[in-house]
Amino acid sequence: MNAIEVKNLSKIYKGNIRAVDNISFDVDEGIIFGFLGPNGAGKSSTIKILVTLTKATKGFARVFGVDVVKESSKVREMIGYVPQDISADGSLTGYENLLLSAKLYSIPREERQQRIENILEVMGLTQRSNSLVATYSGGMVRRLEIGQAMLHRPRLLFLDEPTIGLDPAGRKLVWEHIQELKKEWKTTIFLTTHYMEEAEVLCDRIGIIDQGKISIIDSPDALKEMVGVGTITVVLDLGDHKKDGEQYLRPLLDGLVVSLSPLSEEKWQFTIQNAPQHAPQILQMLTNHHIKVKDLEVKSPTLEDAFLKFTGTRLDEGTSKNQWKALKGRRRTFKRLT
Amino acid sequence: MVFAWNFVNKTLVILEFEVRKIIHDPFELFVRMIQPILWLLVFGTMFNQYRIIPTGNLSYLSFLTPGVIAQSMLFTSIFYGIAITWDKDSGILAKLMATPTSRGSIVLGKGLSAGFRGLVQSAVIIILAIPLGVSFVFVPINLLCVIGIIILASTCFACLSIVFASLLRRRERFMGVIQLITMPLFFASNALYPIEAMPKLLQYVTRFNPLYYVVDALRSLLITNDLKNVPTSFGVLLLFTTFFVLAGIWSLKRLME
Repeated sequence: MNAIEVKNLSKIYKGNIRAVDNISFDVDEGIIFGFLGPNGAGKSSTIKILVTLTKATKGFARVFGVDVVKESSKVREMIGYVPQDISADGSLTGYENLLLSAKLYSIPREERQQRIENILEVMGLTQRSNSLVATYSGGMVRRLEIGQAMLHRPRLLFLDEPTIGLDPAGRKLVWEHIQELKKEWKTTIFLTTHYMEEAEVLCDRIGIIDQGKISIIDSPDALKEMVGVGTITVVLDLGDHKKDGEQYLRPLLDGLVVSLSPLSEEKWQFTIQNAPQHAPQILQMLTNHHIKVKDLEVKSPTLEDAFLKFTGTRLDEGTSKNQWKALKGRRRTFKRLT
Repeated sequence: MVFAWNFVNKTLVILEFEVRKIIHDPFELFVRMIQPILWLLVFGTMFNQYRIIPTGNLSYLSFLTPGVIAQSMLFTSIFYGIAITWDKDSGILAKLMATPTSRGSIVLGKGLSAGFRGLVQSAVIIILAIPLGVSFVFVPINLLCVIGIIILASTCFACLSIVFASLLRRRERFMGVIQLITMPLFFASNALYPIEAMPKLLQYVTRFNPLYYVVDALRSLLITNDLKNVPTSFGVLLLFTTFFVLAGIWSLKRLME
């Protein structure tokens, strides 16, 4: 059975703003599925429909075969959800936050204590469990929130931008925990992110989403393969050919590279199919013609390239208005916690 | 049956954790005590001395004390909606609403926690009023009814506040509107003076003010022990509360959209 089944889903807000624009996709059980896209692409709106917070304008969504609108309370029992903004209560302790979740998910009294202790240990929060969450670091809050969402052992976990605003160390720890959940607890995970690295490290399948539409869904490797080209950046000593470098190099590399462009007088960038494999050939060619290679850097295609190819925009651009809104939200959350 | 049990259970869970929050940081609870104390000590004792307001054979302080209890409850509960907007702006409300908890439990649990504050404040006011010479009717059944009225009224005003918060969304607007409605609610009631002292038209308006029924019931139960109007007050207040709880549920759904 599919963990998630979405068909022709649209969310249209006042003023005909299409946050989600007729998307369809399935998520297999047991995998980590990620939506990769900039702020305002429709990722959070999709999650909000799936976790029963808002209703879709058109189309339908099912979680393990259960309709999210018609049987929303049944869906709520099956899922765990960690929103993008801070959702642990800063004016309660870590333990109390977990106790609240345990009670809301009707975990039997005799099991509560053990499950909470177990989650605290798994998430590395035992030491600080009786401190107010307002005194936690960003990474600790996120781990607590994921713990809260996992307490009732949901089959499906929704993580909206799980590592936004975390420092690199905190981010890595959260990644480890997410991978652990998939491996040990066999939880299906649906996450959204605008960090390429995150999508690459965590996801088995990635849906690239921009302006409410899904461009493509595939594994990270397949996506990069579809982009095909990588780059080789070299610093060359062209000697006598310094002035007419381009005319000199072009015939030599013809057939090897897709394109070539000067970055400065000495620095060149070659776009090339399967860059790592072809790098030795390029190097050989250059030495054969007595061109001294002072520096060389090989880059495989990245998800960033894939994003650019499939949407025509760069991932980090986004719309400034949405980013402003997102930033404002985050500031507020931060203010509340401190 | 299962549904009803679940509803009660979840409502109590929400209430429990709201109360835990108040206990973790009781600063606001204490600060909110200052205003009613001033009403009692400064306003009350002064007017008591000069007998400006006709209160029959009651001393003005005795007349005023139930009014001050109602006022402190109103002024605390009416700002309750702001907490909902905080929860909405962070992810707390979103997460709560994605758990198997009915919207009714969320609204009612939060509303009832205003009742907890109301009870603490009322107890302090009563304790303070005794040395000022106010004589209370300490009959167990009356006190039980007083507790009921305080919980109902706090829930009523807290839910009213939640409705306004979700309709207005922005905190600045919310604060402005709440300031605007609180004073008329307070002055167009029998908290400070008997309604017979008001113009006819205003007396009529007072009948639509939930605070009127709160003060009337509290005054009967705590001071005069003249209970003939209590069932009516109780009934009307129950209607108001039910209405605002339902409106609160509706507005909560709207807030998430």
